[in-house]
Parts: sequence; structure tokens; C-alpha cells
Amino acid sequence: MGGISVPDSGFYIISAIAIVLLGAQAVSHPAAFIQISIFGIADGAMYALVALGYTMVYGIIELINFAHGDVFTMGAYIGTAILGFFAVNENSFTTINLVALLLVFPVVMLIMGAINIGIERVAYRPLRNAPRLAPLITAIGMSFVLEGVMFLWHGPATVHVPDLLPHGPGFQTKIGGVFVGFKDVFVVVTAVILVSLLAVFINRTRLGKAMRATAQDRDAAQLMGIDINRTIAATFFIGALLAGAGGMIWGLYYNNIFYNLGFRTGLVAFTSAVFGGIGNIPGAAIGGLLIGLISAYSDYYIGSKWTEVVIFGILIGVLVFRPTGLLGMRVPDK
Amino acid sequence: MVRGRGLVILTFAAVVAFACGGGGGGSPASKGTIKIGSDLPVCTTGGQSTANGVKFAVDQKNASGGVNGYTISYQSFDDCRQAAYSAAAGVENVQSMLGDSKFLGMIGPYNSAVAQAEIPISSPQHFVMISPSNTNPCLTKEQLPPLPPCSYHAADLRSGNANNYWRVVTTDDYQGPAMADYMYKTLNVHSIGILDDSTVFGVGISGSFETEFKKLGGTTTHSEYQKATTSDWKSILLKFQNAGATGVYVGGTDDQNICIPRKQMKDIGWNVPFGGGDGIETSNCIDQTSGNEVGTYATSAGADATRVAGATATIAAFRKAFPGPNDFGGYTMQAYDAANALMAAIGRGINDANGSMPTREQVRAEMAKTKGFVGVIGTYDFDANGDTSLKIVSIYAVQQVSDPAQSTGVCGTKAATLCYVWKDQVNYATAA
Amino acid sequence: MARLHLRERFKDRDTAIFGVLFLGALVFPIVTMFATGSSALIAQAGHAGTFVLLAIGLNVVVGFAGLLDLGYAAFFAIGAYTYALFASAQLGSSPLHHSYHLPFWLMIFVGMFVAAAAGAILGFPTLRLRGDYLAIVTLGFGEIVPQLSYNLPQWTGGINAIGGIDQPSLPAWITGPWAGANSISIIQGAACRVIGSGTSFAPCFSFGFDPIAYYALVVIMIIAAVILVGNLYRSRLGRAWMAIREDEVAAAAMGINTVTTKLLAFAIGASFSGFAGAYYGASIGLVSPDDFLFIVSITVLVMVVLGGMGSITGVIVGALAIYFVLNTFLPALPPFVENLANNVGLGFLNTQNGDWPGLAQETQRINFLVYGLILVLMMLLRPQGIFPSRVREQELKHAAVNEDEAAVEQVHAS
Repeated sequence: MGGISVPDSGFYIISAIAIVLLGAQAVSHPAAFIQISIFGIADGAMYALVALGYTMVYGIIELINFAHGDVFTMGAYIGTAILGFFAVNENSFTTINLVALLLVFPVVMLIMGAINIGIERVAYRPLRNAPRLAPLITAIGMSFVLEGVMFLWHGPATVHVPDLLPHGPGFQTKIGGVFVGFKDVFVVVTAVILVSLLAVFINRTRLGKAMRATAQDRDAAQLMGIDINRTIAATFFIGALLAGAGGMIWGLYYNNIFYNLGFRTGLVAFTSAVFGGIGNIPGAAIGGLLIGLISAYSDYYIGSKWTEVVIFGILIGVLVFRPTGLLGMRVPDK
Repeated sequence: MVRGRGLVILTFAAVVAFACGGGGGGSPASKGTIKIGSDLPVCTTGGQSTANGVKFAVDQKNASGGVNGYTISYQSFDDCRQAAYSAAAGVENVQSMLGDSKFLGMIGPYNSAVAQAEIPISSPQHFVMISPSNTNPCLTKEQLPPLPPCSYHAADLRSGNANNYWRVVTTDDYQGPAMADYMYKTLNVHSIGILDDSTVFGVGISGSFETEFKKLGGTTTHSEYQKATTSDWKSILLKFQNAGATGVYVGGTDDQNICIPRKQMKDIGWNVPFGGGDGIETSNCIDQTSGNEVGTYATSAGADATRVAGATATIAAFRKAFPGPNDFGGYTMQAYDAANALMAAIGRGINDANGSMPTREQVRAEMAKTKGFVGVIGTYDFDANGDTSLKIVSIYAVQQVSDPAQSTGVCGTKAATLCYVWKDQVNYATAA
Repeated sequence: MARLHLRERFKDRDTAIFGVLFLGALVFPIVTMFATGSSALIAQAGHAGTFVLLAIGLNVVVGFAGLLDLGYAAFFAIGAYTYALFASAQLGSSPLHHSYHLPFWLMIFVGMFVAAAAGAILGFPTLRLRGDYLAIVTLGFGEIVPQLSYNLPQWTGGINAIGGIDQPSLPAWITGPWAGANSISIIQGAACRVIGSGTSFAPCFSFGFDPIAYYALVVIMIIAAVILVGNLYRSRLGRAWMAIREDEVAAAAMGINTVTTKLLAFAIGASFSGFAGAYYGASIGLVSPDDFLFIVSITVLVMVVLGGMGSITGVIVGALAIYFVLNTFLPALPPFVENLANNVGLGFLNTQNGDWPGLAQETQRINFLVYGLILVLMMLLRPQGIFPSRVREQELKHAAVNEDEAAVEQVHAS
């Protein structure tokens, strides 16, 4: 159906107003503005990692994978358990800390990848030809199962993640009134590395090509000899690698995790994916970053109680003016 | 890891049980069973540690022969639905208790919003409710200016019935000002950032803090957040810092993650005092501040155990019975007192009924007559509205201690030697 | 011929389920009062009724018209606040400085219209969005509405909620045994209020918080809703919804105005939650933003899908089943397990010991896991729901014959 065609101009006008208002703040109080931007970028980088998993899964099987946020939290829980085996030092950065860090990331990522393949196999694959909302409900169910496992494991209290990234006065600098810690740099650099690796994988490898083909047209892909089940499992695996890493980064950055952290983080990450154009990989990364920045600006300039309204208000606005998200493709309606 | 050990115990227990073939100990002949319930959000650490206090009181009472020959049976109702307290669930729990004539009273609820929904249902049935933790003033009285007027009225909640609701804690309008005085006068904080967690408790206590702090001549910046939507407080903290604040006051509870901002203050290199109400006087809070524990101050409604005769022994006995790190919370002893006050009223009710099972109205009438009740948090009466005469607020600060077992304030679970140490107390009963 | 028989059989099935549900609703209070001597279960059933109404309403949007709505709780909130604001002292402390006490019987319909209007206003600019983008818009709306009620305390009471909400009252001559055991004592010298003034015209009894009165009320409301929705479903509009659900392009080609039809589904679906909201506000006596969060939208969606999208009997059964699991089964589990342990001689498991938090607490912690597993298993066992709609079931049967076709359809379904 055609519907009412709303020009993009509305979208551009709103963006322009927002940029002018923020720009005025940036000029009048540059230190605070840059500081807030740093907070926003660090948060946004973590949202982006989770959003990628949502967008990949949605792109390939059109499922809003509600359990993905909990895969993220589970990554942090398992990572914390693994760190428990090391005699890490929270007060200064030791060799053990470095070894633990280098080890914990691949291990957590692989475990989460395996878990997510299991979830796909048990809860989504049997329903591939079922009514469209059936896998949505099992996704909600799996979300509760994962939260339930974490609740049973550590109860309702917050779990402390060892503060083993270099921190403290030696690893923080203040440049022109702006405070930058090693942790902020670490989060952004790690996220950029992971997203670049993903981009290389999707664009350069055979499996990546198969994933893109399956997302575009599953039947045609199947006719071309692509193993659909394997490709979908690979998508879940890679999504969970990123979410597991994201969870671990979150834990190391904030040092406090709790069993239902993923519920909210997942919702925001999913919003980011939609914001950028669901199914679009660079869109999810940019969407995550933007949502991180918008929340930080809103917390500071508008008031944190309005942040939720601002985020979702912008989301609705973007969808009204650009129904396929920021970077979404203009697919002709069938 | 932790759960793993639990399973081992379970398996072991099963083996032992089969080996012994059951066989419980014979208890002395009892005249019957009287039930008391609790309605608490036991899905949270705060709710569970409060329920532990009730359970401990009932177990102690039954071990010493029950109440006038009756055995007390305690049932803990959960007002959590899907991991958060729910007024509708609380209403259902109260209706369940009201439906069973053996229930003669309840401890709870934990959250003031739940009480607001439950009192109208329990009051026509004269069902005693004693809350260990409701601190919203409007449940029992009107708020006097300069505080904003109550949006609902205690008399409306009871709709003409006799008062059936008591609480053993002082209200927010004492706790907030106590910390305001302490921070302004003792810690010399004259400009402060106030953060509340958007719960009834958090908004109330931070409001009364703000009113008093302004009265003293301080300047304030207020911000709020919600657990469901906030995990990064750094922008808010920066806003406080840029507004010239030299301290932070938080109105809220640890299960809303209110102590995580304390940790994030370290991440942005801002080291100023961090104060709060009894919602942060918990182990979980000390854990949340992970690495930035010292410099945290909290108030507690009630006197410190070291200042009340016999209290230290009770706490030690409790700790022995409930050794888990989160078993003891800010309201555990309040719940213990509330349960004992209720059981005492039931005992007098049994006397009124000439040794048989009293009616709910008899228990209610006896509860209203409670005078000079000797509890762990002090010795107190209740006024006609159901408020305690005990208006002592204690102030604690997190410090390094040499022997956590001797500490009267709670300690961290990870940083086990960092505990809340008693600093000061304010008695509003004598001040007024 | 075989097809006709099939249809007859399904028709019988739905009639039979309705019959069982109706009889059950009549017998339930009598049996529980007799068996337990307490009205606690009836109170729970009354609260479950709220969710039945919500599920019936969401079924119009999701089941009939095939539009995924992830923010249904927002309309529920709008209905509940509409009643709460005009039937309590709340507006007296708002910038209006005048409180209203409009009667419940009027406000349920006002709540309905306000929620329907909200649905239409949200739907108008967004219904042209394809597939799941609409779901995201509703999700956003569902997040914004409770936030507004938190953030505008001068109007909504904010986190302190709106309390002291009026209960419905009826003229005294309507009272009877069905109106509850203590209705006689509730009859007062007070009288039914006339709209806008406090003058009296007839002696009245108030529902108070009598579970049986609310139970009777909600059963009547549900019956009315079922009749309404059933007729809608069989009407021209119902067939248009079905056509859009199956193939929007084809529906448009057949001359159906898809935007208006979808808008109507949205508005009518929302109106039932307005209905439910007014009832909820009256029966709990408290309307708080905490009651309308995302989790409520999710729960109602689960009820609809699990019960059987598009099937009225299915969603009623689904709503009752999920409500039972969440509010009766799971909370009852810890004391049950504790008693069981005591009876089989494992009583010492109940006391906590070191890292073992005690059997009851351990069982309480397992709640999430159990609920999640129930959802997953139910969906795997019956992907089309407990009682799928007859039409749907036939489609599925048809599709099973030609599986390739189903696979193709799945890919293009959006």
C-alpha cells in the first residue's frame, strides 16, 4: 500500500533544531559538553554491541529476540565467575589481571555463543514454520529462563565484578576540564575492534556472504545450496559473541551487574537497532551510539526523568518520518 | 559456585532423611495454631531480610512455648510479581489472609504504596497490620507545611473504621532532616545534589531532606532516576558537580541500585560525602559502592543496638540463626519488634477471650493498648494514629572495622571489614 | 463436504467451551465459598477478570487484524487514570482545584472512549508503517505513557499514585446474595450520587471491597465484551480484518480501506483496555504508574498468543491460565514445597544453612525459571495456541498438506 508520503524534510528539520540547540551548549560550556559526550559514547558503544545481535537475528528470521538482552547479562555473570578463579588485584594492574582479561573475553564469548546456538536449536528452530508470534513468545520465555538461572545463581542482589581494568588517579587525566579514564578508552576501542571484525566477517567470508544471502531471500539462498539451518545458527552464534563481549565490557566498566540488567539494556539496544534501521549492521552500530549520546545529553540538559520519554519520542518521530530507520533501505512495498 | 554447595547440602540431606526415616521431635501439647502472615517483597534482599526478622521472632516464641499455649504459625506472602513489588499482589495477599480466620494479624507491607492499597481492605475486618518499614507520613497523619500536603488522607483509607495499622519506624519527615542537619552542620556540606529513585520512599525522604537543608540555608540541585531506565549516573553527578555541590544525598533503596552512583563518583574523580536514608544502610549498598565505600553516610530509624539494653544479644542470636550475608538488613530488627508486638497483643487477646482463640477485633483493641513495648530498637508506645513514640534517628558512616562480628551496623559481603559504624543519634521525641 | 463437517465441529467446540466457562463462572464462587469458607479465591478471580478483558481487547488488534502491539498497557493505563482522576479527590490537588466524583457506570464508557481515542491518535500517523515497525511504535508509546504519569505528579499523583478511588454503587433494591456476604452491612443512609452534585435520589449500597460483588461485575463485563467482539468478528469489519491479516495488498485490491480498517482495530482493541482500566481502578482502589509497565504489555501478549490468536475462547483460557500461573501457582510454590519437605521428613531443608537460603526461598527464586519454561514448553507443544481459532486451524491444516507453500508464506509474512 502506498499510504501518506511524508517528506524527509520533517526529519531533517527536527535533527537540525536538535543539533543547533546542542551546538549552542557546546559553545557556551564546551568542557561539560565534551564530558557528557564521552559518557554517551562509552554507553553507546556497549548498546551498539548488543544491538548488532538484535539486528542480525531480525534481519535473518524476522524475530525480535527478547532473550538477547539476557544473553548479554549472562555473559557478564559467567565472566565474573571465571574471574573468580584468578587472584586478580583490584588496586593495581598486575600481570594476573592482564592474563585474566585476555583469557576471559574469548572464553565468555565462546560459551555465550554455544548457549545461544542451544537456545536457537531448542526454542526457535522447531517453530520456524509456526505462526509468526509463536517464536516471539518462546523468546520471551527464554528471557525469563535466563533471568531465572541468574536469579537462582546469585539472588536479587547486585553482583560485584572485579574492578581489574587500570583505574584510579594514575589512569585518569583531566584535559581542559574534561575527565578521561582508561576505562572509557578501553570500552570504545574494544567495541570498535569487535564491530570492525564483524564487518570484515560479514563482507569477506563465505559464511558472511551466506548470511547476507539468507537475509535477503531465504528460498533463493536455499536453492543456491546454502545450508539455512547452519547459517541461522551461525548468526545466533555471532550475535552472542558480541553480546557476551558486551556484557563483559559492561561488567568491567560499571563493576555492578544484576540478574535483570538485560531486560532494560536489551530494550534500549533493540530500540537502537530499530533507530538505525533494523537488519542493517552499520545502522545498529550508529543507532547504539546515538541512543547512548541522546540519553547522556538528556540526563544532563533536560533531566533524567524525561530521558525515557525523549528516547522513545525520538524513536516514534524517526519512524513516522523515516519508516525504515536512519539507515534502513527503502524497500518497495509488496 | 554458591548454588552448587546448596545442591550438595540438598543431596546430603535427602540421604540422611531416608537413613533416619523421618521422625520429627514431639512438641508439647498445644491448644491450637494461630497464624500470622507477612506481606513483603521477598524477591528483593530488603524484603527477604525483613521476613527473616519475623521468622526469627516466631521461631523464638514457639521455642519458648508459643503464646499462651497456642503455637504461632507464620506464613510469608510475597507481594512481588515478576520481580517488583505490586500493590495488586499485596491486595490479593491480604484478601487471602482475611479469608482464613486463623490469621489474626500481619507484618507488613514493606512499601508504602502497597499499604495505601491494603489498609482500605483490612480495616473493615479489624485486621492488625504492623509495618516494619513504611515511612511515608501520609499513611497515618497529615504533612504539615512547608512539606507538600498529602495527596491522600489516612482517615479516607480507614473509611470510618478503628485504626488497624501501626508502624514501628519513624517517618521520613524525621530521617531526612536528621541527615540534613548532620551533613550541613557536622560534615559542612552547604551545597548538595539530591538524587531520588522515583519510588514513594525515595521521593518522600529526599523531599523532607531538601526542605530541612534549605531551611538551614543550603542550596540544592535535585534530580531523579528510575532503576528500570538508568544504569549510568555520571551525567547526573556531573550536573551536581557543575552546580557546585560538595555532597550528594540519595533518597532511595539499594534494590533500586541507589548506591551505584557512589561507585561512579569515583569513576569521575569526585570525592564528596554521600548520604542517604535507611534504604542504603544495607550490605548490598556497601557492595554496590565497590571500591568507594568510605564516605557513605546513612540514617536508621531507631536507636543503635549498643544504646539499647539487650539488643546486641538478640542481634548476635539472629546472626547465628541467619548467617547469610544478605540475611540481615536495615529492617530486620524492626520486623522482629513488630512481630513480637503483634504476638504480645495476640497473647493479651487470648486472655480477653478467656484462653480461647481471640477475635480479630480483640487483637486489634489490644494492639491499640500497647504501652511501653520493649523492643530491640528501643522502648516505645504507639499513638492513636498508629505511629511509634520512638522518634530516634541514628546516623551511621561506613568505616573500616577490626571485628565485623561485633558491628551493630551491617557490613559488606565482599568488603567484609567495611561496616556502618554508629556516629550520632537525634531524638525528635525530646526535641519536639 | 468434509470441510463443512470440520467447521461444524469447531463451532461446537467453541460453543462447548463457552458453556463450560459460563457454568464455571457461575459455580466457581459457590464452590469456593463452600470448600474454603473464604472469598480470597473469588477476589483473585475478580482480578484475573481484568486480564481477561485486556486479552479480549488485545486479541482484536493482534489476533483479528494481525497488528503486533507491544504497548497495550498504555491504553490500560489511560483507562485506569481516566476513571481514577474523575472518581477521586485527586483533581482537587491538581491545578484544577476541583475534584470530581463521577459514577463508575458512566466512567467505564468514558474510559472506553478515551482509550479508543488514544488508540486512534497513535494509530493515525503510524499505521502506515509496515510489519514490526508498528510494534516498535507501540512499544515506545507503552514506555512513554507510564513515564508521563510518573513525571506529572501534579496531575497523576506521580509515584504516590491515586488512592481513595470511589467504588461503584448501586441502588439498594439491586442488592442480593450475589452482591456479597457483607453487602447488607454496607447499605448506608448514604445515597447514590447524581452526576455533578452531591444531592441524593435513592438509597444505595457501595461495592466497597467486597470480592463477590466485583466478581459478579467482571463476569458481566466479560460476557458483554465477548458478545460485542464475537459480533464484530462475524461482521463485515471482522472479515476485513481477516483479509488484511492474511494479505494486505490483496485486501486493498478488493476495495478494503486498509488504513481505516486497521485504525478501527486499534481503537476498538484499545477501548477494551479502557473498560478494563476503570474496573481495575475501582477494584484495587489505587492506580499507580507501576501497574502499567512494559511487563504488563508482554504478559497480555503472552496470554493472547498462548491462548490462540484470533480465538475468543482461546484468549480467555490463555488469560486465565497465565494469571493462574503468575498469581496463584508460582506464589503458592514455596509454602507448598516447604510443607512437602516437612511431611516427608526433610523439614531441616527448610531452615537456611550457610549458602543454602532455605527451601522456601530457593523455590521462590526458581519462579522465573519455571515461568519461562512453561512459556517455552507450551509454545513448542502447541505453536498455534491452546484453542486456536477455527479459521486459523483450517489454514494450518491446509498448509500442512503443502508445506513448501507455508515456508514461502513465512518468508513473506511481514
